[in-house]
Amino acid sequence: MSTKPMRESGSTSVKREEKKAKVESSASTHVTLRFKGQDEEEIKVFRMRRNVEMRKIMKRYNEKRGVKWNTFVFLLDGKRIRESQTPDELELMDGDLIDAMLRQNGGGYGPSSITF
Amino acid sequence: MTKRKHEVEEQSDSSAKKAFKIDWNSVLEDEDDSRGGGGKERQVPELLIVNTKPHPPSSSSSSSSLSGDQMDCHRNITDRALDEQLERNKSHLVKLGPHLPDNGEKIRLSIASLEAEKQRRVLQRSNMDAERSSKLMHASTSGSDVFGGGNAASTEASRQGNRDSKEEVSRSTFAAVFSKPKEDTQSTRAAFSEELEDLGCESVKPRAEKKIVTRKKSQWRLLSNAVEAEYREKKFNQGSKGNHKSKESYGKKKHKEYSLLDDDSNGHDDTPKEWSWEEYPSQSSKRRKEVEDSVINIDEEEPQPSTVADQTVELPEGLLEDICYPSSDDPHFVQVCRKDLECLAPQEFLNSPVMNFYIRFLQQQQVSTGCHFFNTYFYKKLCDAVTNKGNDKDASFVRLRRWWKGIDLFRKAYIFIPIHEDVHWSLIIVCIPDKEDEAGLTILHLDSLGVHPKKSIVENVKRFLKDEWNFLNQDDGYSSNLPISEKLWRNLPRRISEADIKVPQQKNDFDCGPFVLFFIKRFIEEAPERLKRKDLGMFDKKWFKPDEASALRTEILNTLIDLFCVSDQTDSHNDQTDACLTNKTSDDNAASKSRDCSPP
Repeated sequence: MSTKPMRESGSTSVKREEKKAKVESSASTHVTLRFKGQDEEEIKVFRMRRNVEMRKIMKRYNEKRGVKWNTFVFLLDGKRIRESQTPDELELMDGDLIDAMLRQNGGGYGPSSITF
Repeated sequence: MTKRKHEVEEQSDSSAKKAFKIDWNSVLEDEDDSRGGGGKERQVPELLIVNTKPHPPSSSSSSSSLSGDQMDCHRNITDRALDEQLERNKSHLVKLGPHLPDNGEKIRLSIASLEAEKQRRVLQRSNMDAERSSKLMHASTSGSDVFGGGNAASTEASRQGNRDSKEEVSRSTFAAVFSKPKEDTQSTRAAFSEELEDLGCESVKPRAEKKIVTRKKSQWRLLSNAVEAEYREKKFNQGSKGNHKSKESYGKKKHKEYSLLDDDSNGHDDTPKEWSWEEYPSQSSKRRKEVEDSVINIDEEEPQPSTVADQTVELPEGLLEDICYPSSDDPHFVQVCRKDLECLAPQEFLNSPVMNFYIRFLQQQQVSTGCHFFNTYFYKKLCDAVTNKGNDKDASFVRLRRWWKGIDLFRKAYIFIPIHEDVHWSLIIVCIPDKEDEAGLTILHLDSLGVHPKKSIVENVKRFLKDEWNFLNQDDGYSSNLPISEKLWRNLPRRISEADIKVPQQKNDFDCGPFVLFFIKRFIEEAPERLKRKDLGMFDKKWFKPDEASALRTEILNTLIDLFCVSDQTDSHNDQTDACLTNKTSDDNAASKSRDCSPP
């Protein structure tokens, strides 16, 4: 993606110009994503570059939740997100909600697990 | 002594109508009173029975209430099975407990009842021997008397004799704990867990080495993961849950009890190492080491292997880190990590990546598109959406609809929804009639243990179907091209019913995952194009043998290993494939057998 100039220049004026020029949604270099953990109500908001792998943000989310990598499975509309995909590849838009689901384990406990 | 009495009495109080007052002093000191011994024998089982039916220890098991009838269930299983169950429950408590809504309370109760049964057996046997040879009771301390009697009796009684060599260790520690006043206020189980773990490990060791070793090693790994996880869990649950206190105490307990933790657990995690260890102070490893030194290492097998995979299942060398199935380009791919394969070890609980993989695998083999399969995460979101009473109920349902975007659910013949709740898997199949049939929709719930709350699950699914009907009704275009009969469509909300069916039940407490997958597999093989009432006869307890479903575990593992060997499935760590192919020829691993590692 054509974000190289902005990253490499680092000068404020260029950045400001770039920002003014870009619209907030898909044309921008960043995207704001919301993460909803399966086990909590709170939604965490992250902002990342559109051409960076999701791996980074997935790691950050796990860290923020205080768990190790790979604890959560990330879904977009029910479809699994691979860590090597980027927001651009996934066509993510600002405000998209990503579900962070816990791995489920099941085997059954017999009588003791009746839950009526 | 007092503690044990309390523990037993608590259990008996919960549902038994009488609390048997046992004079423990006389019980333990009694050496030559055979009548007393007989009395004890008669009394002890009754004391520990926590349901109201008085019957001899070997009665059949039936269970409906929480703590009571568990005792009956446990009576029939062998000592080894009892220990295995105990071990399994403990590791599950640690590994999964924090995730559960009740924080593992049921598992704790289950553990408590298993331990009580264990104690009962010990007592019973020792009492039986007290009759035969009174001098066996002349051991050093009163606590060890009971156990000591059991020791000698183990050769006579019909116990699996593997415990003998460890009796001394266990006896001394057991007695030591037993004679101390109750110091651990956190839970009664703390006192016995170390000894019981020793016994548990020991008793399963000499048999069927491969299988049991697998199990034991996985426990080691599970336990050590659990300790790591425990610190994570504390942060995890901060704020959002209220039982902070219980978690802290639980965490402390972990270090004390799970003394058999493997110290180099840190190194075995081969997934991308991004988590830091700041919260995991070195003192904990030190503490574990100390405790570990005081416990004799029963595990005389080789030291922990380097890769996680080898500890639990026999995996060939050089497997990929993860795979995407059917391919990474597929919009609905499933991803399985190498670590996920561990759940396919014997007696392990299947996890969601593996479940979703096999569901997708079965789907791929389908030619027709008459079935829709939701993944294992869907039901949770479904519940959230249908129980949402807030203002944004419509919005949340609209968001949920993206999960089946572009698919007309009512045009399908069958909709499969895996259900996961409380560490258990079951299955919902929604059967939709075709246009010529005016019969209503049928919901089937297949549960290999019968423990999921059928009513509420079916209710949620009904509401989901109604919500979808509501949504589609808003679209006039849809009504002009209905997939089902118009009459049925008009009355749909009232024409959704549940059929009461019976299905084969699992014979253990860990195979519900394979059972759900086997349900799906057999259903799509055998079901007609559309289900009618008369077809419900295909469901009964004899539909298939439970062993067939349990055997699916191995089949899935083999299928996955094949995929992990193939190169073009994933975009990560492709260089591993060459190693895999090279090693494959010289690999004499049992699991690989004659499998061909080359790409299909």
